[in-house]
Amino acid sequence: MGSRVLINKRRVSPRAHLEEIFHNLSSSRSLGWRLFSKDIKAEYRQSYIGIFWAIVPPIITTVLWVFLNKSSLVNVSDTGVPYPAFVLTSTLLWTIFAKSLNMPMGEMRKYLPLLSKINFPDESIIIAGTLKVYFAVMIRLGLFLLALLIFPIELSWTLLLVPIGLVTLTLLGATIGLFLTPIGMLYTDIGRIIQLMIPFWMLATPVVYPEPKEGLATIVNEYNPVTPVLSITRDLLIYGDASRIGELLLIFLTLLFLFLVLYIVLKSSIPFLIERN
Amino acid sequence: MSVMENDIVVDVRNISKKYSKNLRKSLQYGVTDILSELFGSNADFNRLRPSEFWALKDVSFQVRKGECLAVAGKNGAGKSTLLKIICGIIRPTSGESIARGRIGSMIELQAGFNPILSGRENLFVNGQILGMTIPEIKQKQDSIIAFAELEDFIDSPVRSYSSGMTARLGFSIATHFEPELLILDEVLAVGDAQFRKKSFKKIQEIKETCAVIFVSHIKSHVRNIADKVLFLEKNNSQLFDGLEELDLIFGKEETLI
Repeated sequence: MGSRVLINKRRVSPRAHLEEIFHNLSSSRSLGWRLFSKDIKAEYRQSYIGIFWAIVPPIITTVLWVFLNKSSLVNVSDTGVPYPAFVLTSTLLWTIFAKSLNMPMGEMRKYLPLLSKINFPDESIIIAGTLKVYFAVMIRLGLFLLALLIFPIELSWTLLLVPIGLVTLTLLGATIGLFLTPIGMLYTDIGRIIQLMIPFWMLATPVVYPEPKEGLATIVNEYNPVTPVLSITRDLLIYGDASRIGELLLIFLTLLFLFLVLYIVLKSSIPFLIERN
Repeated sequence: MSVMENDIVVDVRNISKKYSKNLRKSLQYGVTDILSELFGSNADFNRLRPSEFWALKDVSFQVRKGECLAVAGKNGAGKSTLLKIICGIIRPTSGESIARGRIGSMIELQAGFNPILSGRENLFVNGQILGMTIPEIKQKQDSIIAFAELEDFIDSPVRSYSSGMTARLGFSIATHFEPELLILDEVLAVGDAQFRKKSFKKIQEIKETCAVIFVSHIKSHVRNIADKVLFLEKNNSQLFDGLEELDLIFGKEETLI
């Protein structure tokens, strides 16, 4: 008889959940990839110009901000690199964060009906969701590389450290998203609040302007967790500045710990969410 | 451990489950239940809070390898709730359920099927969700497709399938999975008579190596494949170790509604 024994009782301890996460990680990778490719195929098979929809939005945002800046409607201080390249880079980084923030609740909403019928490792859902975030970003990354050809930006060895920044941005978004998921699955208000907040949050983050040195914006940015991660990654990407890499690593490790804790919370919540689905 | 004890695949011990009738209250209880799950609490879970009721009360039974248990009861008697607890999808309020080995569950036939993708693509997704490995699916796909009688349509999108075709594919995947426990929820009620006959035969065949639990409210289905019957009623359950008392449960009717 198979070695797998499923014991279901009223309470499963957080420790048992932790053990399950590590046990499931290996088996979830292949399933996560399968769910990812299924969702992408299903999404693009119904669209005639498919990939076009992924390219247009970042170009429109860039053009919009360049126009606002050129026409002096919005006054952005000197960014040190051509402004279009600055906006394209920064919105790329912001998109990674915003997509990661929406990912846990979006994916759980999508897959909860299935989880309520078949017992399969929920880790695969988060893996598939993360892959989808990067798939959407890959296209923007291509645009960024194109911009490098047009605008003269000096590239430096710090480009090699950029993946740490990208992963940290994903982890930051996913951790905040995970924090809101259990309650957000019960009450739809949470999802609406997030959607309402994202545009303001972007403006409160130095995405289309450099990190402010004085004024009210510095105070806002001090409490905005996205600011340091985004700025440090941008420093690595276009300014060749790796002086704050230690800070980035510390943030990464803290987030990793928080993510694991919050994932245990989500795992504990899933049976109760299914009952109310 | 004796040989018989070794053969126990499902061991359900005094399972009870309560639900709330009121949505707002249910959401509130959801928050408190999640918190007590995380921090552990000494709250009395056997007490009903306002608007709650028992969906299952003190249900116990065992199913051994080679046995088929039919779960019968009217709508709302807690049949699907019981299956979900055995599969580990939801938690019991009290009691314990132990299931040994791979579980092939079919709580809904189309579960996990994406209508835009082809039958073959869905076969791979669904197989992996159930727990099969890719080489395993590759090895079995021809026999899954043949059993489902979908050779000509397997590369067409599932949304062009009739409900019977989808049901056949779902059933074929779940039974080819070689589970140690097969769970079927009312799935034999759909599909044509000929495929149903074939399905019963398949269940008899795989029963030799696994335990089967199936939900039905149709007397002839129970008589066809079950060895024993669990009858669920509001706040009550009765286990019959044979089919002699089937008429007691169903009365003169062919179905329970």
